[in-house]
Amino acid sequence: MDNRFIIPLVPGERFLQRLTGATKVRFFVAALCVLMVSFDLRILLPGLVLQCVLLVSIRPNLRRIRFIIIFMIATNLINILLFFLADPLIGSRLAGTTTVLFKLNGYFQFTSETLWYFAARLSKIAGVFVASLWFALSITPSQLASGLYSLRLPYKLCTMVSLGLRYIPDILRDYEGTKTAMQMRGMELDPRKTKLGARLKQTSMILFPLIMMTFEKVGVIANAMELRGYGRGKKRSYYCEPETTRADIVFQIFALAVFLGFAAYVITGLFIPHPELYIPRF
Amino acid sequence: MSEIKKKSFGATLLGEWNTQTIVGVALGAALFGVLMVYAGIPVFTNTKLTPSYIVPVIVGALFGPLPAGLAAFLGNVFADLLGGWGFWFDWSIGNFFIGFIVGLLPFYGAEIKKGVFGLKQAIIYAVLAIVGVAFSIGLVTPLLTLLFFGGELEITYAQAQAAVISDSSILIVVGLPILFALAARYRKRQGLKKEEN
Amino acid sequence: MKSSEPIIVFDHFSFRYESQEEPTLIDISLSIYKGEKVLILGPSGSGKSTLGSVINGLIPAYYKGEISGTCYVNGQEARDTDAKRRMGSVGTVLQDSDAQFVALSVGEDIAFALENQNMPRREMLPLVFRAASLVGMENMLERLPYELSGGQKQKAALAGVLHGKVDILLFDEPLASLDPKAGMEAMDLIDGLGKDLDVTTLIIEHRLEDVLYRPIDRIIVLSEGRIAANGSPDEILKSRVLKSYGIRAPLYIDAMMDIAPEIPLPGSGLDSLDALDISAYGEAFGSFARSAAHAPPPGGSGSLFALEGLYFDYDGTPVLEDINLSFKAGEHVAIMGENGAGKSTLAQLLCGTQRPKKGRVLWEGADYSALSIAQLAQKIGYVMQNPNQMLVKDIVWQETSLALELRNFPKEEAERRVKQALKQTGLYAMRNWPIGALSYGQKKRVTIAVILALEPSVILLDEPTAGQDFARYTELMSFVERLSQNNAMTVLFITHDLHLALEYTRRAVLLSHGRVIGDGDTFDILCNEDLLDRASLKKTSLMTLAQRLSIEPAAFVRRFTEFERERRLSV
Repeated sequence: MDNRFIIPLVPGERFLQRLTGATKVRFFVAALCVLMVSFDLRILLPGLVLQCVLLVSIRPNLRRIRFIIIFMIATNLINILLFFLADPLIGSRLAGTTTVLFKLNGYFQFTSETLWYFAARLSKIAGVFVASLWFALSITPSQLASGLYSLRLPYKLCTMVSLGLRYIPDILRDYEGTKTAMQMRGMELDPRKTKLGARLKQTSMILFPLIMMTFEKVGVIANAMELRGYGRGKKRSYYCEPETTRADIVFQIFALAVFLGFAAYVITGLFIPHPELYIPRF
Repeated sequence: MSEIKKKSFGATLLGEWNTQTIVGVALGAALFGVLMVYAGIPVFTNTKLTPSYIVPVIVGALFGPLPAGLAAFLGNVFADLLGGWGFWFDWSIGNFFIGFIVGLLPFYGAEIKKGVFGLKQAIIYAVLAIVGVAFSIGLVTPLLTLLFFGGELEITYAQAQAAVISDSSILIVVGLPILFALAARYRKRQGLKKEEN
Repeated sequence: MKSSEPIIVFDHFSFRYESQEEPTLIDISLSIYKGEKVLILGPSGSGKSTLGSVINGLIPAYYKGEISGTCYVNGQEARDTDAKRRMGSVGTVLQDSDAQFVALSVGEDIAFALENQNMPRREMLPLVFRAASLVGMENMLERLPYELSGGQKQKAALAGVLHGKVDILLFDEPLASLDPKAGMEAMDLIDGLGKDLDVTTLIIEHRLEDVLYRPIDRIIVLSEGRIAANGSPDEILKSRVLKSYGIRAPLYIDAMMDIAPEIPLPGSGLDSLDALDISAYGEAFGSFARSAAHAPPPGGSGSLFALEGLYFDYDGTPVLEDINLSFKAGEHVAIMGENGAGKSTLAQLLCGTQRPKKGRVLWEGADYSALSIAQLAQKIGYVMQNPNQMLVKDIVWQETSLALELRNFPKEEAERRVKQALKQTGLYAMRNWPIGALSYGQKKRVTIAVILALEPSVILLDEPTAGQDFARYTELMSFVERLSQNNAMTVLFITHDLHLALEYTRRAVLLSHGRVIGDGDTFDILCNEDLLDRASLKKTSLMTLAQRLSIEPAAFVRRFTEFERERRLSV
């Protein structure tokens, strides 16, 4: 069942996968903060390399992620092309300087600022993507919940995460059953044979029983949880969380250091603005 | 019948955080994720015509707007996890606001579980759907995208506008019939008679 | 072991749900003693589950309502809203094992109660292992919920309530989602645990004979919210009150009472056929089995559709192999086998929602691969188990005509067909009713009307009687029976209900591990002990009865089923 999903339901055997949920969540959050806020290629590029190393370290099943990688690369290249077509001087505008490298005509000109900008943007998006990928591939839903809980999030919120992921395969099965039922009723689901309007109508017809069935379950599941004492205590512990090892501590300290460095960078930026875009001067 | 307690404004807004609500949000988010990944039709890069936004409407009707927002946010995160195309919090956070706004049903008297959903509620719902999507995907998400990733304002906006139009029309075209049907399914009918001929 | 100290005491107790006009429990007075094993019996809507909710504390912690009278559970008053203590000492195993399994592995689910107590993981591990060992799941702690059978999920749920000091174990319809053999295992486990842990065991069920597979101290019969009977199994079984409350008595009791009413029932030990002295019945039953049985009704003619060398797998794991079957028009066939034997995959292949990887499906001699799902649906109609999965419209008439509209049938023809389908299903008078106003059984009938409107030649019912009590079961099945008689329709039942197969079909196909292991006359197949065992089915007590009296089982079961059928039709 789980082979349709990226997130594993059974903890893997690789080093990264054996770390605790708390470590993985902290490390991912730190990485995400840096990658999302910085526009400095000197930070982004090593960041990207580190994320790639982590991803490779879990030896992902290439067949499963190949499509997503190709899709991401294509989407982002198209986006960058669109950006360039719309505003070839976008980087120069951000950096405040213009160093023309190559000119096609008055409008289309390649400036070194724009190239640096695109490089930064690409490594940022690639970094976030690769980080999300190793994170999703190395954490189980329960560890994700316990990891979030270790960040002092209320456990009720964490339960929503693991419980939701628990029932996704069941809901997917119901969705396919409902679709089948409607096909047998005579609904033509081949998108090439139906117009958009008809398909919207079909969609609401498939969704209706699916919604009924999904929310019918709420009461029973809630009962089953309450009967085993859910929601009574202020705190909760997690069965899925492995024992903390020395590697966990090292990773957590590293994540904390990265996070603190990032925070310092942001805070100093409030007083002495950092240049929005890093452009090397030769 | 025992008296029905009038819930305070705050309680309606935040929802009651009992086990039912937690399970409701979890299942809602799971359904949102499933629909986003498996029932969507891509129309533009980064954008899909997805019926998943109906889910927070229902969560809102049953549990209130904050649970609805959470279901949409989490549902988006689930979809990212299932699809493996990375976490894009600019979109997830935008979805939280959509969920919250379309989940305001209890505030304008739409009580699906009691079978109350009429023309008045439908109009308010449609307006809120457009406002909610325009605010969230048209404003919050592009701003976050610019903040996180930078980029060309016009294109980011153009993509956002496409999403605003497709998502709000889905909410209305697909959502309204479902809401009417759900209300009808829960409505208590009196005086039903068997007609022999 | 039963003691004289009561652990649960109801005294003139009534309860009304906040959302309902009428009380669900009325004037219940009842004592249950420490160590007792009690069966709470009653049809759907009798209030038996509500009684369970009072005992485990869901009422009033979760369901609000009005209580009158008193109820003490383990010394705690029922009105006490701090149900925490009560929930800790009452371990509840719910009917829906899928919903009860909230975690992502067996170990985690068993640990759920401990997690909620914020117990450090190190202390949890031995407790989880201990609880898992009690139910025999200690080697499956890593398993995912999606890989488990219903029985295994139920065992995990049971282990999950065995931590700490449990005084009462409460089982809400433990047999509902299990195949017969898993049901027997469950009753064995419940019996063993009750003895080993010295707890009070309450079983809420309507399947009396299956519960009696292991001894019960007392039976309480509920009907319309009141206690209708309360006594030892012998007293209850002898009194013949069960049928009037919509409960099916054990078949061997029916046989003894109906075939030879002149012989007085043995005074005690009625709950276990194995230990019962039945020698007095030998002669009567022998001549009964020899008496002329009516010729079985014609089982159809000419091959309507056939499966040839069918093979199917999911990701390389074979689910069906080498399936060769041929079905005649007008036949009634039970397709049986344990959970996971490939029954549902076979149904999907028949309806074309999955297509065979090898082999062919032939309709009147022609391969069906050119037909779309929608086209096939006009030949074979599939009635899903959960009617809510099929119903999408507001009004009965609209629902029934939807499939015809989607196929662009001319208006008059569509109207004629809808009218006919609704008349056949007895829903015509309710054609303008909203679906939401229908009962579960009526909804189920709408799904059948939906199928009939397409006028298929085959109708395929997936577990039509799952989760329904005897009264509803009889209503639905006699309706299906009438329907097929009038239309000469081929009816396929996917089921693991042995009674259904014996009473309503003339042919049975047994599947096991993806292969057909038996195909033939229902009585011959279902009285073959070796086949039953391989298909995880349980032999009926009628068969045991015949074996013990050295009568040929198939002949006896056939004769008795027909005898009962005549009685049913003559009423």
